[in-house]
Amino acid sequence: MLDVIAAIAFGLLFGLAAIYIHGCDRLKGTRL
Amino acid sequence: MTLNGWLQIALFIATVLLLAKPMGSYMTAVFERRKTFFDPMLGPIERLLYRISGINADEEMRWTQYAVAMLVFSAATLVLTYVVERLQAFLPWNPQHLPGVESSLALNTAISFTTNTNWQAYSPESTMSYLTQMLGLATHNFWSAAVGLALAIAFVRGIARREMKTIGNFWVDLTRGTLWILLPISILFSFALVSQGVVQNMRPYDTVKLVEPQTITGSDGKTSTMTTQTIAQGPVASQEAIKMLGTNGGGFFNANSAHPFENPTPLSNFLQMVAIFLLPAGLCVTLGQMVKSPKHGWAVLAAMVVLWLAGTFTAYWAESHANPLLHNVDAKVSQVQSGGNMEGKEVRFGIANSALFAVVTTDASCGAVNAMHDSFTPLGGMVPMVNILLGEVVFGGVGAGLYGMLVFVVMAVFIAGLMVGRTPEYLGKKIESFDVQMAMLYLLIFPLLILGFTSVAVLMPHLGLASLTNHGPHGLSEILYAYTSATGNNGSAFAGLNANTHWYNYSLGAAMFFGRFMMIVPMLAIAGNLASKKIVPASAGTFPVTTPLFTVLLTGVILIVGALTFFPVLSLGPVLEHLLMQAGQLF
Repeated sequence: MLDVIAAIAFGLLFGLAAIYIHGCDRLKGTRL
Repeated sequence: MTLNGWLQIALFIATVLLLAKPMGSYMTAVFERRKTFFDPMLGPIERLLYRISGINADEEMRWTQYAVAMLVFSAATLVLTYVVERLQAFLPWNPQHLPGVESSLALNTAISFTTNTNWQAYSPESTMSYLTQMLGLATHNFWSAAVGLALAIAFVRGIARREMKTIGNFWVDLTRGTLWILLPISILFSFALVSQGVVQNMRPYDTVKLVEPQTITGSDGKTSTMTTQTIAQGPVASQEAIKMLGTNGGGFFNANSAHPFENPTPLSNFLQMVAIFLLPAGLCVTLGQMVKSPKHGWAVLAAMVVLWLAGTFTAYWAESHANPLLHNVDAKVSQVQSGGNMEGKEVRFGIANSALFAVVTTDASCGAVNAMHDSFTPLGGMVPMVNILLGEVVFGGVGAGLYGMLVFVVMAVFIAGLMVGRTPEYLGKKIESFDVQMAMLYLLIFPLLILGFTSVAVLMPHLGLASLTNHGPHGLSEILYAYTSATGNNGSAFAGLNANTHWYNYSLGAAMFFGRFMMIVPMLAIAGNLASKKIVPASAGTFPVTTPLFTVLLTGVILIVGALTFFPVLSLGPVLEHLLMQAGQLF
């Protein structure tokens, strides 16, 4: 069971990191 | 403090500075793919690796591609380590027949070693098999350091290039950093450590008869007499070398570099400290050479040396004074004793080399320890914590220190521009809103993670506070240090905190993950943006980044950002503990 949690955590963390890269790239040229 | 102690400290920094230029020049040649001594031997291996993995070494990457490649590599190696830990009971090289590592601890450790943190919530000799230590952990010591090197070089390329969309090829930088830099030096260093008595074998642990049997009373009140002791063995020297060189810090044994099999002599201690600073110091020279402004590299290195000296002086001074509540105890320096606060320190290293090691390991993101930071005086223990809280930019981790410092350089140049009312420029590149936004993101994520996780932990008695050995301000320091060490990817433990619980394994794992990758991404975004810019000719209004004034400004910005962010929590922890100790209360 805990291995499933670990697998979900891996996916979630790296998925978030990929979205974060996209977000930072999109921020360029945007005035906050 | 003694003259002998200061002479050893002076010898240490002189050695680091003497080695910085040859090391930096060599790294420049490696990453600019110029000819080096190792090419005939390593060139064919490099080409073979590219052919097997289908990599085109001449293909350049945008910053987003570079970041995704780094993430993919980190994810793959993280999963490998997790699987090896979980399955170690069924794998070879497990002479002690250790069971598989518990899931939350395996997850925490896999993240820890992938992120170059090497936080260890376990006792290695009773938890990890030889195969796990080598395949799961020591490999990460190379990979995570090589990733740091690659990222720093990508940032430097961003500064050096003009009107380009790319910052290099991650796979090439990773491969060359591992093969040309980390492997040869660590092999050489392993032999030096073996010569000092660091063990290197695959034997089962030894059991020896005690000269003097020990009677102990267990928690259940029963007494038992111990007549034997188990002495752990293992392939230590090979792991120890990259542990220091790659600023990883994860010990083969629980006592880390205080263990006589990891760090047997004053000379091995000296070499280990030099190894921690070797690559970060060299990278400053690499920076100067790659951006065609060697003086800029030296100016950045000078800021690091100033901050290192301030930390060393404070820690050495604090530890040279004994606990004032120890009455009728001779704690003065003499021919037969070190004097001062020797609690938690090894007699063979003494005060000076314990204080210096603590400063060096936390200036860099190493995290190895040769003394227990929890046993330092409140102010002495605050120094390692402050070093990490400043962002580990004082030399810093391999690569991570330099790119962290360069983000501070961007901020320093920006502030200088604001002060004179001109658009800030850095080596001919205009610093614009996107660069500053990303720099601020980089700088704000760090305190957000540390203070956020610490706040949650201290507000939950059954999760956060239940693991504490000490309470009051010292307890706060223990929790704060744990999240600081994790987020800063340092990995040293203040001790006194049982971190092997589900709460700490998961929350510290998250802190390590976000502290690594959420800071790398904005840093790479700055690199990509800088690479695309034109070079503006220097004018009378350009702030020079090669002068002592720049070094002073950079040092000031680092200290002010750190002080403004963390002074309140430090005042509730080590500062309060120091004042209460002076008033006669200990925790």
